[in-house]
Amino acid sequence: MDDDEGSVTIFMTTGPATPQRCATPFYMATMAAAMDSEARMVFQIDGTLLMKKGVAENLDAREGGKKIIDFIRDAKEMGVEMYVCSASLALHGMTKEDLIEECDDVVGAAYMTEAGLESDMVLTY
Amino acid sequence: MGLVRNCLLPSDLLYDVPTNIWVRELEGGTVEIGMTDIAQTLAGSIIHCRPKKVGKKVKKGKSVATVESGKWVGPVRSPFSGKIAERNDAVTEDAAILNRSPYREGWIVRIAPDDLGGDRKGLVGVEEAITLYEDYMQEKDLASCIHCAGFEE
Repeated sequence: MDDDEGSVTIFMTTGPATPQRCATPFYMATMAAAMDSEARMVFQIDGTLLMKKGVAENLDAREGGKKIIDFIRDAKEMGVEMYVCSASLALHGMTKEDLIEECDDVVGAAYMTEAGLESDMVLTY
Repeated sequence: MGLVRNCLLPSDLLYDVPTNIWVRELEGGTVEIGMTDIAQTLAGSIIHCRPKKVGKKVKKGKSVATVESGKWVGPVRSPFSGKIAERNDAVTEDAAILNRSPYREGWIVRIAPDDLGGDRKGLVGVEEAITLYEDYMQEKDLASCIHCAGFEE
């Protein structure tokens, strides 16, 4: 049975300072999952701030548009996995307790490198 | 024609309520599938539909097409394992057909099922669908179906 729809890893390095860049990556992940691809997002550098409680709830890519937290929830509902880089947590003085419930886990550089190597498609935002 | 909260459910179709899919059995053992009136209402104005390629093998519960609206993106899940025998290029060219004519022009793919009788057991007829959709719509907080201009039953 030809049921391998491939895998997609999205590295998200930009954060709330550029809100116009914050919706599309979640939308792409949701679409990949809807196509039955294995879809995961890895948050690094400022992307990690989107996983911080209270940030995505108050952020929209365009004024008055859909909140980023709703893009995140759509992606989760479709089965997208979300991981945060451990070093970026330290960079922003955050701990695991600061992360929203949609975040699956905190990972290290080895995991992130492996995720990129084994994916059929890698997108970086 | 079945009716639940202004949503139409043709009596000659079978339904997979959790995935919001209708099924029409065709001569020769293939099945035609599409989105229900409830699904097109929940999606809103549909802007893209991309069925998978003819000849592709699919497993029951897996996606045979993706649909995008301004507010939603999601899969069209097949209630049958089998092979895509035909796809409706009209919905690729004009996805709004799914809003206008979900049960006729808006069919999405035709599938040659591996086990028609077996997989059909998971579907329900219109009477049971009406009961299940009443609960489904309450859960989704959906008061009524919305029909665009030119909607075709």
